[in-house]
Amino acid sequence: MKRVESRSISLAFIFMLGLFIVPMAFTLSNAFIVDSRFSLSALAKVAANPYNLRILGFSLLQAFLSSLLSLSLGIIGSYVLAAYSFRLKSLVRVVYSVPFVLPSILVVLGFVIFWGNSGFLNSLLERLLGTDEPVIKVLYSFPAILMAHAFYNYPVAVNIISSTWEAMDNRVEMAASSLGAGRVKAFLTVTLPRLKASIISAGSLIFLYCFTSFAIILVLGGGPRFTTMEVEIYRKAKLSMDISSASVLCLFSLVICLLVLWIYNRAQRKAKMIESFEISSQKLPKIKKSLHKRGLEAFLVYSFIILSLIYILGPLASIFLRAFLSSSSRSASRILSLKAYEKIFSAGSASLLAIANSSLIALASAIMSTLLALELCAFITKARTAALELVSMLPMVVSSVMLGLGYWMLSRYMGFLDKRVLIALSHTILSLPFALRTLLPAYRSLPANLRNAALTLGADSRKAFWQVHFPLLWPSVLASLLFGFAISLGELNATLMLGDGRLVTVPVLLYRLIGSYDYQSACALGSILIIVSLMAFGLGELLKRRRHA
Amino acid sequence: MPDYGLECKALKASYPGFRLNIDMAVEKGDFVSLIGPSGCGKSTTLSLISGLLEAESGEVLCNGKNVSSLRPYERRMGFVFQDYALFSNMNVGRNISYSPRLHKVPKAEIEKKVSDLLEVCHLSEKARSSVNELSGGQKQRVALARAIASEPDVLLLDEPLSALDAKLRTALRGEVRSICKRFELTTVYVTHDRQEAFALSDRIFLMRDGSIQASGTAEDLYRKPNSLFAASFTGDGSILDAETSRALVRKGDYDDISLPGSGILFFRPEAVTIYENGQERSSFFSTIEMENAKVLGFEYQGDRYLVSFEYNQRRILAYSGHRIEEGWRSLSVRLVDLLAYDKSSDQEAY
Repeated sequence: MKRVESRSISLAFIFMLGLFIVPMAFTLSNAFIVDSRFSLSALAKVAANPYNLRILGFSLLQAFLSSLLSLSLGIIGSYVLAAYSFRLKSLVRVVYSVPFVLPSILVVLGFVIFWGNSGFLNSLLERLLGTDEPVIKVLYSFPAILMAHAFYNYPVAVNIISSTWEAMDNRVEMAASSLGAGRVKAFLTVTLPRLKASIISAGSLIFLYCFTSFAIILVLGGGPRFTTMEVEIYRKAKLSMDISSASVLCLFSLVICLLVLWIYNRAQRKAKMIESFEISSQKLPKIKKSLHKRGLEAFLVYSFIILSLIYILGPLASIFLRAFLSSSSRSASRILSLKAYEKIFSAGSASLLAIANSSLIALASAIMSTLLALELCAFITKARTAALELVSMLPMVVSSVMLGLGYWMLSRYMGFLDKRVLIALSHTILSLPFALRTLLPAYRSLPANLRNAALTLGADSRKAFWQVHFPLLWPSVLASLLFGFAISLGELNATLMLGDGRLVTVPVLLYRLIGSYDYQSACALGSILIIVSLMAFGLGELLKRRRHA
Repeated sequence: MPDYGLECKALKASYPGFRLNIDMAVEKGDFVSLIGPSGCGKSTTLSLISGLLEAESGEVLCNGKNVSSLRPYERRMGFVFQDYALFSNMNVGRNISYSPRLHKVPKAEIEKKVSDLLEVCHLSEKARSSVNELSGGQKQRVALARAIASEPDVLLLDEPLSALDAKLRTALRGEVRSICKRFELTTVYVTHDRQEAFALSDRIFLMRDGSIQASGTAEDLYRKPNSLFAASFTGDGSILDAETSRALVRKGDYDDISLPGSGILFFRPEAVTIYENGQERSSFFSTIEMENAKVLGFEYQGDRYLVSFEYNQRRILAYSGHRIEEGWRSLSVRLVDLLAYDKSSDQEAY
């Protein structure tokens, strides 16, 4: 029985590696092949080109500054959540989890609509200040990149850091205070060192996200001045058809990502250790400050919360609102209309086609990644080595642009395959880490002897799984399906690489509509995508929590 | 006028459904306990004294100096927490040297101080250990050493032993007192365990519902409690109604004590003598005689038995040198051993 099973499970492993390693190998091998022979000349050429080095430097710089900005805001936000109790706190938490689940193209759209020269914020400020000039000119610049990355990653920082901070006993700060340390001194000597691991953990994860960020740089960066590795890979491969240079850049990028992932992994493990230690050593309820009748302190805390909510919700609300505003041709003013939605839902529209494509791909990849993750769970749980788990998380390091490039090169040998199949396969790999992270804890919490009991009672392996394990796992399975669906639905980078511009999905169409300044249509389609994404993630998260309860 | 190390004058704080108002004075170098039922405000009082909580009004004086307006880190008060609150990012030695390092004490002096404290607290081999590896008792010793290293004027201990198991608690409490005495610290020790307080304290402050109800030495509080609440919180005892007990008095030849007309009578188990029904007894002192008390049960305490009886629907506790399992006995209490309280004062304590 054991032999049969381990074989079928390792098949799943091989399947996963095949979907991931083969395209990656295709990409990377091109870095070493010149004129169908092994050579390091491409590598040397790219490395010697100052233009490429400048891009590498800029990628690192923007990722570093973005992480710094997100972390600084994140530490303040975590402090507010950890130290104070105030009304609607759980609502603030929910809002903070929203950006993370938004497709990047929607962040771009939201930023253009909210922060743009004729965006909502500027319209408001112009009216308030009585001028005709945009007050905030921030789009298509370096700060715009940092701001969009902070929008995305500030909540990531808050989630990771506040999780540790809230586990920490604040009597320790009181002890420091009774020993003669003022507030700042106590923070620096006692609080910050205990938060260090989770700050590094959050910082490295954010660095990874920002380093491989694509859509934000592509659109908000506004041109070649602010180009990063990912965008350059895309540009070299798709526009200059310089595959070998693109592959070399992939290799560089991959090395950096692996390094950062290694740091992240170490820091995260340490942070988890500190967290569980803090929880276990704390026997008394935490003392939380209530925010009644505290003058300046309450003002500062509430201002921070309100500004952070505007920062997050402003761009989102702008998308919903802008979908109903049409520019009238005669004047600069805008009028309310349902034009954009009518256009989307008219028969044969590009939007409907995009929605159909996206749904089909998302459904297929959600099912595939969930099935694959289920099989991998059984394998990983049985094998009991952390290495396997790490290998399964590998797709995290590989940016979607790199993966897309690999699949695109493969596709040249597989002209017979529908593009949608390849896109669905690449999405399967991209959502696999999420599926695993959802299913693995659930799988591990299954009572060990349950399956054995079923086997001794006469059920075969398959039956034992479907009749005994599956009923206990289904909330997590459903959650994994929802996550996979949402991730695929919002994925732009790999699709753009693979689709050759002929295959239109919702994010690709959004990208085009933004490019052609048709913001109303973009916002209408974007609104639909936001609602579907948030619903899928929200429902998935609820199902995941249900398991814990 | 005595030399006070710590004084609280009308120290007030209020929370929904709870008001605190503390007046207390501790002589310099004394080890005092603050005891009382849970929720009476003991820990809050410590937080107010240390400045970790802000008082609404009132004064805290430290060695005669008003420190009410000072921040906690300026007050020179050591605080030891129930759950230790050690700095997990520092080893044992650095936990202890935290305060001297903050205050830029010369390095050699710090090293000397830390090694002295480690020795006193039996932690010499642990200087470089992570605090996460220590046992509960060791952790609390580190917390104590860390507080003492800051050379506080007053040391405040908030139920420092309650997270430990019973045997270790007993062993460590003597150690805590002798360390505090050795450094001549004015110490306030909060506990809900009266035996711990009895064992440790020069004086005891008994709290209830946010204020000090009684204070004195352990003996004072046990023998002459000023209220029924104080009497019952400081040890076992039984109560009788004064009015109905008048009929039970047997006048002695030697004394001339009489019962109060009304109120509650309280007496400790050791004041009760157990007789077989109908047994002869001397009539030297005036007594209350309770004939035919029903044996309810007993607790073996190692050196004696605590037997509980039922008499007139009251539970009466008495000590006995031997096992009494069931049946009926006569109980006798000398009037001189009775404590009398107003009926109105705090009947609910029983």
